Amino acid sequence: MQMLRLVLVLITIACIAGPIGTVAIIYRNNLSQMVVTPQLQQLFNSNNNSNNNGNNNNYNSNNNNLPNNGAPNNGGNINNNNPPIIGSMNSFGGSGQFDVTTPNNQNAAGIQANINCLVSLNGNNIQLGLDLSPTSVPSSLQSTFSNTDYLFNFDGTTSGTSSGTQITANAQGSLSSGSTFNLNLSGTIDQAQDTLSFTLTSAQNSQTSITTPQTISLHPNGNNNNSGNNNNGNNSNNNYNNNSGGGVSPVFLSGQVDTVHKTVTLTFSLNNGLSQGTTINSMSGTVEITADQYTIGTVSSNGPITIPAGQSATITVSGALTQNGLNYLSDHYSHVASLDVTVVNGQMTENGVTNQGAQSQDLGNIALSW
Amino acid sequence: MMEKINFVGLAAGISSLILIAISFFIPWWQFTASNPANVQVRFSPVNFNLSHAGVSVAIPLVLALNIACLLTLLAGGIALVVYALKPTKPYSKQLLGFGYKKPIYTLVAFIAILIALPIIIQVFSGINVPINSSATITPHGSSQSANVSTLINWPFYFAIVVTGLSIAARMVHGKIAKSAVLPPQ
Repeated sequence: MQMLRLVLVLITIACIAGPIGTVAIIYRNNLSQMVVTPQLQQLFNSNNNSNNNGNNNNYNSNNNNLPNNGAPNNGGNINNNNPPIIGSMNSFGGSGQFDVTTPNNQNAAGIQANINCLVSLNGNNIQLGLDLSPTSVPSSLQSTFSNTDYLFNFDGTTSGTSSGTQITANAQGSLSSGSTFNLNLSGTIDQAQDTLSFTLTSAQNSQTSITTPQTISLHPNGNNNNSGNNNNGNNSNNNYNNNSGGGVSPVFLSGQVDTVHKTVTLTFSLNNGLSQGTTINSMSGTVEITADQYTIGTVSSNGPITIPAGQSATITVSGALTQNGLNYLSDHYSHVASLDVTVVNGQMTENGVTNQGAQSQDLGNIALSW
Repeated sequence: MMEKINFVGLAAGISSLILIAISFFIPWWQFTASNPANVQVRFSPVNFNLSHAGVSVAIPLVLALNIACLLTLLAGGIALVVYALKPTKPYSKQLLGFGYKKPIYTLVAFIAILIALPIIIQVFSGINVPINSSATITPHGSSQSANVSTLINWPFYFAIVVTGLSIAARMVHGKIAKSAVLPPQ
C-alpha cells in the first residue's frame, strides 16, 4: 500500500513538474520568455502604440511617407526620454548604415536601415523624430534589433549659417531590452531645404552605442510637407491618425461642400501597411467651418471596406448639409469657392475597434459649390 | 460471484476522460474583442489559445500548465476507471483518493482564475471585462473602445457534472466497502 501511495504521489509530481520543468529548461537563458514571448511583446507594443494619443501619433501619420512605406510603426521598441515630435513637420527619407554595440555585443556591428526623419522647427528649437527601419541586421544584434521600426526622439537647437541650418540635438532613453542610449546628432539642413545631412555619436555612458560611420544624407519624401498647401493637409491628417488603432492611416485627399444638393463629401486614402487584411467598419465625424467653428453637417462612411495587406483604398464619407449650415454659408461664404473645414469628433472603427478623435482635425481648404 | 463495480466511479472516470478530449477542442470560457475579432482567448484547463488578428500567440508557461493539467486529469481518470472496476481490492481506496480529487482541483482552479483574471485586468488596465456577457470597454485614459463578449461554454458545466460524479463515487465507495466486509446473509 505504501508503495502504491508513493507511486501515485510521484505520478502527481511528474505530471505537474514535468511539463513546467521542461519549459523552464528550454527557456533557462531567458526565463521571462516563458511568459512574455517576443510575439506577445510585439502585441503589447502595437497595442501601446495604438493607444497613444496626441503628438506621438502625429508621427504615425507621417509613416505614410516612410521609404519602406506601410511598415507598421513600432516606436514602442524604444522608451524615449524626450517627448514626441509636435508641430508642423518636414519629412526626409533615405537609408544608411549605423554601427551598433550593445551590452551583449561589444564589437561594433553594422545595421542597414531605411530612415525617415521628421523635423519640427520652432524658432531655434528643433525636434527630430528619427525612425529607423532595419533592412539588414547582423545575427549578433538580432536579439536586440528586429525588422520593426525604432523611433528616436531628438530635441535640440539650431543656428543659421551660410550653408544652411546647423542642428545639434540629443536623444536619450532605453531600448526594450533595457539598455540605455544617449545619442548626439549633429546635422545640417541645406539652404534649399532639400537635404538633411547628419552624423550620430553616442555618449560614453550609453549602454547601447549607435554611431554613423559616415555622414548620412536624407532628402524630402515624395509627399513633401514643405509645399505650401500640403502643410495644412498633412497636419490635419496627422491629427486624424491620432486615432488609428490598427495601423491604417487615413490621409485626406479631397472634399466638397455642395450647397445645391446639400451634401458634404470627404475622401480619404487608406493604406494598409499591416501584414494582414483589415476592415474599416466605419468612419464618421462632424464638419465645422474652421474659422467660425460653425457646424455645417455630419459625415459618415457607407458600410465596411476591407483592405488587403499592403494595399490601399479610398473611402468616402459624406452626409447632409444642415439647413442651418446652408443658411450660414449663404450668409457668410456665398462669394467664395472654397473654405477651410475641420472635422471634430472624428471616429474610425477598424476591425471592430472604435477610435474616438480626441481633438479636431483641420482638413484645410475644400471646394464649395453653389 | 460477480465482481462488484462502482458504477458511479466508472461514470466519473469515463466522463473525466471524455472531458479532457472535449476541453481540448471546445473552450470552457472564451473572450472575443470586437467583430471580426482582434483578440480572441479560448481557455480551458487543457488548452489556452490567445490569438490577435487571427495569429496565434503561444505562451510557453501556459502551455506547460495546460499539459500538466491534461496529464493530471488523465491520470486521475484512469485511476478512477481502474478503481471503479475493482472497488473492493486493497489498493482501490488509494486509487479512488487519487482520482476523484483531480476534477475538483481542476474546476476550483479554473473558477479561481476566471474570477481573478477580470479583477487583475481591472486593476492594471482599468478595463472591466465581463465573465459571461457582452460589453463595450474603454481603457482609462484611452480614446479607443471595443466591443467584447465573453461566454462560458457547455464543457464548463460538464466539468461540474464530472466533479459531482467524482464526489458521488467517493460517497458510494463507503457503501461498497461496507457491504464487502459484511458476511453473506
